[in-house]
Amino acid sequence: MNKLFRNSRKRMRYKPKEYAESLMDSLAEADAGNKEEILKRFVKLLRKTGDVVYWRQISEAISDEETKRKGGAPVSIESARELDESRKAVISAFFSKEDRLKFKPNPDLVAGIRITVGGSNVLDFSFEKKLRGLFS
Amino acid sequence: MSREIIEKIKKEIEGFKDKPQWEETGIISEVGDGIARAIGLYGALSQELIYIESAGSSGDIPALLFNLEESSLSLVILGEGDEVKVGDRIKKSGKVLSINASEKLLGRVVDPLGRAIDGKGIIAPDEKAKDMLLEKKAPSVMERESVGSPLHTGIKAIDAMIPIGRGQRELIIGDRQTGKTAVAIDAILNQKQEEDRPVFCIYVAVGQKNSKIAKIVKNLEENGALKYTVIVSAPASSSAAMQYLAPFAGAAIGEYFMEQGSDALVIYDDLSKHADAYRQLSLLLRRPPGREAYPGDIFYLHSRLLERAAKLSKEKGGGSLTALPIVETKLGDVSAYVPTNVISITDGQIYLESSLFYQGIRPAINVGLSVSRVGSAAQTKAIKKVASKLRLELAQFRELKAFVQFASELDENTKKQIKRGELFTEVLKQGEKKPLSFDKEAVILYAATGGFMDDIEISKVGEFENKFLDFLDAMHRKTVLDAIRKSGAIDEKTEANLKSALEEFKAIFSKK
Repeated sequence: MNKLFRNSRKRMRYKPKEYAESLMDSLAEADAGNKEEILKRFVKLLRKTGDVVYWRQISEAISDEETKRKGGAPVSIESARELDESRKAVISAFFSKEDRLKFKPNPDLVAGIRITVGGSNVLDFSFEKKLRGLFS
Repeated sequence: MSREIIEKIKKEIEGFKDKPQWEETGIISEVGDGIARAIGLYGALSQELIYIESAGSSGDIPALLFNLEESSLSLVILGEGDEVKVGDRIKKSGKVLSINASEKLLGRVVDPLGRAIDGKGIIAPDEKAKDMLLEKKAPSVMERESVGSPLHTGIKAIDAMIPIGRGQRELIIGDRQTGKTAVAIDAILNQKQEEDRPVFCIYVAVGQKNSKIAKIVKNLEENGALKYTVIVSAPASSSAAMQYLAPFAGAAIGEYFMEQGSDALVIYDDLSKHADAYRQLSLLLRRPPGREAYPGDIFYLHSRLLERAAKLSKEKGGGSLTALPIVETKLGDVSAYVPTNVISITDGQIYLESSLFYQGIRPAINVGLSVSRVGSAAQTKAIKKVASKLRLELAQFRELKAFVQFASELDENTKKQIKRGELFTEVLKQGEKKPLSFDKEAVILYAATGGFMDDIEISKVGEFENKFLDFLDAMHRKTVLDAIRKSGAIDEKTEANLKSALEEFKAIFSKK
């Protein structure tokens, strides 16, 4: 049933990254008074294309794009368990203010943490990786 | 025993070193039908082997990188596609797909990734084993030599009129149920008789029924041919990716033997199904469809595969790889897309016809439409001597046969020509799994073309043939058969011996 639902779901008309780039470009070019109007039109466009159902991915892409334009990078920090604030602070100290840090618990890691910068560079300290290395 | 295992694991853990470092990675964004789309991994190369770290799988799942787009990658999953999920990570291997080829593969049935699937256990490691790339550039002009030595199929009609040379690409084409696979299997069986220079065989089954593959394996085993044959199997139940890779795996194994200086024969059964598998992959990858929905590079797919068949120069070891691709036509339509492509790529074709098959002419080879572009350069002198007239006389016979349907009275000469044509057609009939060594083919064809069988009734030609071969085997083995086999020719002395043997046998045969 799930498979059927997945296959029947409509494909996105444009990619989240394309939406994010075009919105950020429009906002950068617009006057200060016009920005709200642009945001309204953007939401209207999403409704028209039907891609509003993918809002979570699009908003994520917009945040990433904003971070990149400010000179930072989106950083995802996965840990086997929820990290306490002191540990989060220790890890955050390694990154600049412009970076957008996102902490996420991931029990699949078993233990340790995994840091992904810019969506494609990974530093993996997880126990899961060590186990994979041992048995593959 | 369990203690030993524990100690072994302990040792592995003690010796395990892991130095975390920055790695490039990508994320699966879409998956379905054996195809996955991913984002990231910007440094990946086309056709690179990618590993998917799936949470549901114990190990990494291999995938092949097909499409490199601006913001995404398209991967063809080579393992269990069901275990891959959106969000799984992917990593580069830095390698392109290869198969570990060695002589240990002989007698085994493997999948396109070289894993044994015959239930006889893993393939034993071999010192001489080599990783052969599935996608490899064909030998260049300078590395090649012209095709000169014959590859005997053991089928009289082929060896006499459509000779195949070692390093040639000869297409076997015909409708379903016309005996295409039987011709190819007979060619494999006949290699048992090639004592001077053995030929290693690779049979690639693409999209075939498992029952058919099992039957072929049994057939080869029973006839002692499996020991020099490798079977690469991608049955109809396997994924389109596996079916697409199978011929390339077969070519890679064949190249291993060729590079060792040996001769190899690879049979692709069949390229129509291979094209269909590639079409399926291409459509799922959203590549633009062309004629008959095949992608634009369908010609290149087969040309780069078949171009790998070659006869290497002496400097390169002198090995050869002969390719016998099979293509299935629909209702005899040779002008369809894939058949015309493969006809233009290969060095000739053996055309099998349903009407001939149902008339009882087996193998159902249409001699008029079949051709070998290598020609008599790839024929032993003995066969060349006896078969030169055969093709011409058969062509004349076919023309006359069509003409006499309208004529009521025929002159003696025409009647004689028709009778000889019928005799030749009968002589060229041959049972399945009964390939003949070239010396035996030569003596039979000598008897037919030399007029020694003109007075034999058509219904008794088969009997004459079998008994004559038995007679020669028993009475004139050394002076006739061995002499032809040794020299490869029918010299004056052997010819005289053969003539006297024929006369002697005819006297016995006519008495019965």
